[in-house]
Amino acid sequence: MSNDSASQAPAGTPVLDCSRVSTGADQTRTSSYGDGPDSGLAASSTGRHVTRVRRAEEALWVSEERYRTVVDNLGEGVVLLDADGWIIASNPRARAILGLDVDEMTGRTFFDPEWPSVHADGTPWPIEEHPATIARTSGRAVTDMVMGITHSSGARKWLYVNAQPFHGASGGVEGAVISFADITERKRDEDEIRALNESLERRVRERTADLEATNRDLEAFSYSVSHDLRAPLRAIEAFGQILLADHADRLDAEGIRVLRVVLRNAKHMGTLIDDLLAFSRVGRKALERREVNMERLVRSVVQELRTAEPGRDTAFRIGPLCAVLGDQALLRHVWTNLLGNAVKFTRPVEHPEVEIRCERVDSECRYTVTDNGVGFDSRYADRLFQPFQRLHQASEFEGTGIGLAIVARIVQRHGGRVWAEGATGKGAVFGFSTPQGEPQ
Amino acid sequence: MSAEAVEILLVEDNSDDVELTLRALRRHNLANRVHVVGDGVEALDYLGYDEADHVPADGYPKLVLLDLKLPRVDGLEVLRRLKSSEATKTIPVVVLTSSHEERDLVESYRLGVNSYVVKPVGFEQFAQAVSALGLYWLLVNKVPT
Repeated sequence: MSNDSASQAPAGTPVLDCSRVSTGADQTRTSSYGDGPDSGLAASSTGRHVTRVRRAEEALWVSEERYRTVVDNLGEGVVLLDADGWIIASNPRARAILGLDVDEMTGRTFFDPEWPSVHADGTPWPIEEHPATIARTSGRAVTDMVMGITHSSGARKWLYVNAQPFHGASGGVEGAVISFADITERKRDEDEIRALNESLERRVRERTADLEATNRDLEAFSYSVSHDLRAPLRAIEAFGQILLADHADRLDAEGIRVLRVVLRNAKHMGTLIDDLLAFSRVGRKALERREVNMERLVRSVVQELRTAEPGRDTAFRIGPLCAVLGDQALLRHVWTNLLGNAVKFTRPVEHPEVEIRCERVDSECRYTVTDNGVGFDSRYADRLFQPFQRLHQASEFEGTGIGLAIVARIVQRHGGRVWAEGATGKGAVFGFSTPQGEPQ
Repeated sequence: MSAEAVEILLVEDNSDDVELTLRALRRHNLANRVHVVGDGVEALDYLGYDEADHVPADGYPKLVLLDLKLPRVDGLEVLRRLKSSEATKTIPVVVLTSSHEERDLVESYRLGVNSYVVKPVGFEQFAQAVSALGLYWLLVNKVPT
């Protein structure tokens, strides 16, 4: 192969400059067997020999062409170093990535002080630890390195670098092949994503801290209500009772009636405070997620209701109920309210009946409580689940109107819905659903 | 205070509640054996908490009725000190409070309270609860001498 590259490499070093091709076609070979008495015979064998040589050369040339094309068109930059680290060859992509031309590349070493490299965190990369250095001195390949270099324009570029030693015929390390890809864009995107993630996480932390502060405020408020409001209320009621018990003889009938009004209102206020606290506690309590045996829960609530009103013999029919993933304590509130209502509103009925059923539809469990009580005017059904809304007068049925609001809130926290159907005098059906999967 | 030994220490800052409690105790003739203090510091002083070998002039009470929300030193702190001192840890302490917050319940029992009663809002129930308490802890329940 003719050595016609303008390389400044030390003499005697084979040059594999991929930008130039030494074509066998340029050469002429003269046969050493050309003149002489046997030239005829010799000529033909020589001719065959020449042909074979020429074919070999052509094959070599084609093979080299092929490789040259491959290397020239790689998306990665390829640089060849000799055993001392001199750059002996580079492909166009390598030069494009680094922003250098052939003259600037050749005759330099890869660890030229004008080309300092850095780690991903910006710290300098010592030459001894450079992949190229390791490859060409120890014969060990070094792969998957992320290196920061300075483009000829001065801009920082990030390279993904592999260094492979190549060995000569003798087996010794004769140099190294460094291949690298430009990952500047990718690294920039990764850094941006990381920064966004961090900022997002920070915002989530701040938001959570805010919510926790709000919850603590609410808790403190509820605690204060539970203690501070109850004490004066107790005094009002208690001293009112004392007045009634010990000084009734000094009051006329109207005075006594008025006093009773005061006492009745104090008692009602106590119930309102209790209900308000219960309602706020429902929103505040952390939702537990455990398998809840609804049948066992319902039976337990029914037992409680029976014990509370022993005179009343309500017939409860409990169908099979699917278990659910949720908060047992809160779900107990749901059943206590719904079943307690059923018992309350069937009070005027001679044979009170309450039926509890469950239906699995699509991905939810639908529970229903059906009673044969006084029912309600369905025109006002949308008020049922609102706090402190009532569809019956206090003189008919006691209550503050918070029970169903509590039910609605708890069911909502479990990811379900509530509904109710009824007609005046014809009983009512109250239902709630829970999705089959995880509650929110 | 009277000539009779003090049997109940009532720690309560609300004077109306004090009056109601005494009324209730009167039903079983326990009212004249009550010493009332208005906050945690007075309670601890009365029991001689900070002084070694101090025994109250009227002897240790047989029952402490303790409210939780007290000025200066609060009820739970009083409870903690009572139950951690050799001299006073055997005295039955009944917390009588408006709070039925779970955390107060948990903490009180953790500190070794003997009983936790939430003051009913209705007076009649309150009176019944208090008189039942007095009756039980002073007459039915036994303590070491």
